[in-house]
Amino acid sequence: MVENVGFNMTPMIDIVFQLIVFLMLATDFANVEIERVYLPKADAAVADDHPDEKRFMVNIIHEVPGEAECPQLKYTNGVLVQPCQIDEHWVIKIRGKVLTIPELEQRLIVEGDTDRETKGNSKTPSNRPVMIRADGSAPFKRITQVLEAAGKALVWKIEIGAEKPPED
Amino acid sequence: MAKGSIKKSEETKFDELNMTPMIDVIFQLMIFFMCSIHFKSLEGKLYSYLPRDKGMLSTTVTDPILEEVRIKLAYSESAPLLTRIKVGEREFPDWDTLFNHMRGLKDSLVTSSGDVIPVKIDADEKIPVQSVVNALNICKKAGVQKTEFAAKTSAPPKK
Repeated sequence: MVENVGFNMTPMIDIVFQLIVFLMLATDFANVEIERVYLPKADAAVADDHPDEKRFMVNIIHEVPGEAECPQLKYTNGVLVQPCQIDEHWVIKIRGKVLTIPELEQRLIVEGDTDRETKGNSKTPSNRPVMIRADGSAPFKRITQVLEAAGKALVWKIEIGAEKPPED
Repeated sequence: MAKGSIKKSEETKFDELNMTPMIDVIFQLMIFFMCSIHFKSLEGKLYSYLPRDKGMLSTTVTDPILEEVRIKLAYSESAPLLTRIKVGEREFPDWDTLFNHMRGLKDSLVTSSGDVIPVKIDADEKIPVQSVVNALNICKKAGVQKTEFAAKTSAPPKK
């Protein structure tokens, strides 16, 4: 006695859609310049709704070499208790790649050159916006290093990433 | 050829519309849009443009500064999360008092000729970014038109 041997396509379609969604999200994360950062909170922050397409993103994140645990950084119930002051743990990352300060300077000069006029031999300030997305517990030193590099590259449109706390 | 064996079951099973795949697709789309919208609405930004006409490589400013307002943020090893806030010689116990002070000060930051005196944020290297953003946030909220970050002057470049 043979009963329903018809091919049920539903599970296969489910899996195919799961794969499509996974790949779409994964591809998005690979291309997007953002890293997982606990941004500082600021209620005067303006919504980042229509960012300039040419904007260049610099992330400052906490990354311990060898994925070991940081001896300094401590959170209790999601609240920062002790910041990390180890210089090597705060890295500057652009599109997933860690850059040193000289590399960052070179990169900003190259990126700045894509949107600036040259008057004779001298360069004019670049209109390329740069967003610094720094962790709220990162030392300010890292931001000054990025600002210095931006100053050297004559990049002046600086935006500092911040999280707007939800309104009560 | 095995032809008629599944005919009956096909007729009875597949006549009605199977809603399951459509519901699956709708749920997938919902999950995707929920995820993407969530990521977008998370973040904001504070504009902090560098001076266009005097970059880090330019010569030192020779114009006399009539009145300078400098918010000093000092780090202390014993309490790394407590930032000491000073404007001039006056020390502020918290951010709210600094906000009130800056609000009272903002009108005096515009000279009679219309020039805007910038407020300088002078933070120690070890200060957490959150404290610097707090100071920037307070300046924006208090209506201060221009803010700058104080930079440590390094040795003059070798010729």
